[in-house]
This record gives sequence, C-alpha cells and structure tokens, in this order.
Amino acid sequence: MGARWPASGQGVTTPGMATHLCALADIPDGGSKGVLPNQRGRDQALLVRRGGQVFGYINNCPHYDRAPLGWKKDEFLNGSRDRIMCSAHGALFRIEDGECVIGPCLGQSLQSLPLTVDDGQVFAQIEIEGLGRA
Amino acid sequence: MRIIGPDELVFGVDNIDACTSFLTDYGLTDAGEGRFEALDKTAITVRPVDDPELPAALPTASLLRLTIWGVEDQSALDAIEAELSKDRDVVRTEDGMLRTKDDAGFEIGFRISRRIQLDLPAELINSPGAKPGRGLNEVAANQDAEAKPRTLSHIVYFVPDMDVMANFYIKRLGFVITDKFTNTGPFLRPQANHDHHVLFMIQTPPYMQGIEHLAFHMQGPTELMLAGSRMVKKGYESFWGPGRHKFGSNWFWYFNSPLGTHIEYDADMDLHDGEWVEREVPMDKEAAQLFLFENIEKWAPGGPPPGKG
Repeated sequence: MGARWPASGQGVTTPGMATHLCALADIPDGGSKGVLPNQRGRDQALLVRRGGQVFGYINNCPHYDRAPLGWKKDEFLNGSRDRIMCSAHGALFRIEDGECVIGPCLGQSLQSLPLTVDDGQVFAQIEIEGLGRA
Repeated sequence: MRIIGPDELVFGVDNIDACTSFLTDYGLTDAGEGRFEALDKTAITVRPVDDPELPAALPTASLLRLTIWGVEDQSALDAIEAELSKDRDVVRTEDGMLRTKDDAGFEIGFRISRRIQLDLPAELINSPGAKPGRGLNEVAANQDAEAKPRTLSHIVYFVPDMDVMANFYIKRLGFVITDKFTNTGPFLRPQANHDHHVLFMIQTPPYMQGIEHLAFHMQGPTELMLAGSRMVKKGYESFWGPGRHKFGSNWFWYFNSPLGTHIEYDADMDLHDGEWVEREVPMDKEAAQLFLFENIEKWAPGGPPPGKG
C-alpha cells in the first residue's frame, strides 16, 4: 500500500482538522472531479457535485486494491451522469452512498470520504492511511 | 476451422462522445457510424446502448454486445455453420455473417475477415553482434512518430465456467491451448493464426460475466511506450503497465476506458504452431509479468544540486 495520504499536493494533514480540497465551483454541477493527487499525480479521491451538495469517495474500486475508477482525469461518471462508473469493468455505484448496483463488486461500496462544504469551499476530514498506489 | 482472430467487437454504450475521444486518442481511425479501425481494418464499434439492432445485453455491467470472429474464406464459414447448427440456432445475416451464441451465452458472429494484409516494417533495433537493424545515420527516437494500433490482437472474458467456455472454442471451433494458468483459464489460439493467444478467460461468479479486456498489437515496444505515454499525458488512466508478460511474451500497457473495459496496447507476442507443448503454472503476480514499470513524469539529469552551480 502507498504513502500517507496526502503524500503530496493539495492540503496539509493535521489530525482532527479539515483539509481543503477545492472550491465548490471547481466541480462542474452534475459532474465529477479528482482530488488529492499523490506523488505520481494520481488523484486519490473523487468528488461528485449536485448543486450545493458534494459526495466524496476514495478513488479505488472495491474489486481490486489498486484499481482507480476513472477513465480520464476528472471523469468518474457514466454517460447519463447518474452513477459513478468504474471504467475498468463497468461497475456502477450510487452517487449518494457509493454502493455498487451492478458489476464485479456488486453489493460492496466505495469508501466514503467525509466532507464539509463551507463558504463555497470543500473540505475533507482526513485521517486515513494507506490509500491506493503511491 | 480456419478462424483468424477477432475482427470486430461491438459495444452498446451511453457515452458515445467519451468513447469517441478515447478510441481516437488511443490511435484508432474513426471510420464513421461508431466504427473505429486499426490499420488493418479490424475494429471496435460503439453504438447507443438502446440501439435495437444490437444483440441483447448480458444482465451484468459488461457493455460488450457482440464479438465478431474473422475467418479465412467461405468454406471456413460453411464449416462453422455446419458444426454449430448441430445444437443451436445459427442465423446467416444479409451481409453474410453467421450469428449465434457460444456456450457461455456470449453473442458471437463469424464472417470472412475484413482485415487487409499489412506490409509494414517491424521495430528495427541495433544489437552488438547482430547485423544492424537500422542503416547508418538512421535515428530511432522520434518524439513525433505515428503510433497506431495495427490489428485487433485478443479478447479476454470473465466467464462463470471456464471449462464449458474453453471446450466450446476448442472442441467446436478448433482453438488450441498454448498455455494455461491453473484455475484461471487457458490461452487459446485459433487455427489460422500463430499468435500466442487471441482469446483468454478468467473464471468469475456469473454476475461478473463480460469482457475483461481487449488489446491491439502495436509495431513494437517503442511504439507501445510512445502511444501509452501520450495517453497518460492526455490524462487517461493507466491501469497496469508498461511491462512484459511471461505467457505470450507480449509487452503490455492497460488503460481504463469509457467502454467499461480495460483496453491494452500489446507488442511482440510469441508465435506458435502445432509443435508447441502447453505450459501450466498457477496465476500469481510473478507469473503474470516478466517485469513491470510504472510511468512517471519526464525528468532529466543535470549538473550540481540546485543552488550549487
């Protein structure tokens, strides 16, 4: 498993403190965005925005321990933008709770990232170690 | 059964624009009507998921709707029709394709291959002790070199019963096992192709049935690196590679794709004939690759440490 998260890039980890991820306006409404890049530039979490509401998940499919979900930078949704899609094998996850509704990890869920949105800025509570690949 | 290999894979997707961007950036040529061709005209086709002309979808996440196998000639097609008609419906479509299902329930087709014969150079290398591959003053490193997939190489399926699946292709269609991962599945080669594998399968629960990945052959390892690096630079998600497999010896680089399957570049696969004796080993990370690199951003060595010059 990889380095402490975030290994580099956005934010500074302070136990019990929130980490700034991005501005709400940086996420297209109805769309998605990758955040918390590690040393290799891989985004270790993804955000999906619906109006003022943001859902956050660790960027790894439950199918494998090293399976980033997107097919391109910031592209994590299916065509109708109502599911998070794993572009490895097409698994679809509910945006609201991260549960896989079809695919190799059926019934399993994405690891949720607790978020707060404050004054147009998105923050994560990050005390999670060993995310994805370094 | 003179089957050459996969001629065309047809997907039903809800994100045609994303697939179009991906497949063209991957290096295939947009031939219109959702068809994206390699240099030899083998292809991936993406159609709207609700296109009524597509075969039925599997009840899983897989977006693959049809695997079309290319055969040498009409007599090969007739032989397949005679064999498969013994125990299932085989439909001959207006454009001369045979359509049916395999024993795992995948929709398959057979047609006289539409691929054209390629006449292109291999990657040329210089090696001490060997005759130079390139002429004097002929430079190999070209940042701007074209890197286009040459031909559809192979398809890998998740299947609920790998023995049933493998036996269909072996006993009914004359495929040959080249190598085998115990408890995972065999690598299969059809009779009119020497490639180590055009078909491989991984046993899974039924709810996973579908395509695991597909691959196109590149000129050689350099072209594979060039094509893969360009994908990374454009922001596409590398999944595994670059590296070199053991079974088949092919170089590989896998990417996630909006088609809901991994799409691989491969290069320099072993060729076999009937003299080959299959190998069998357990599937593990050591068996799966000879070596594995991971792409990082470009870098260059310099002189003294920063601030000491």
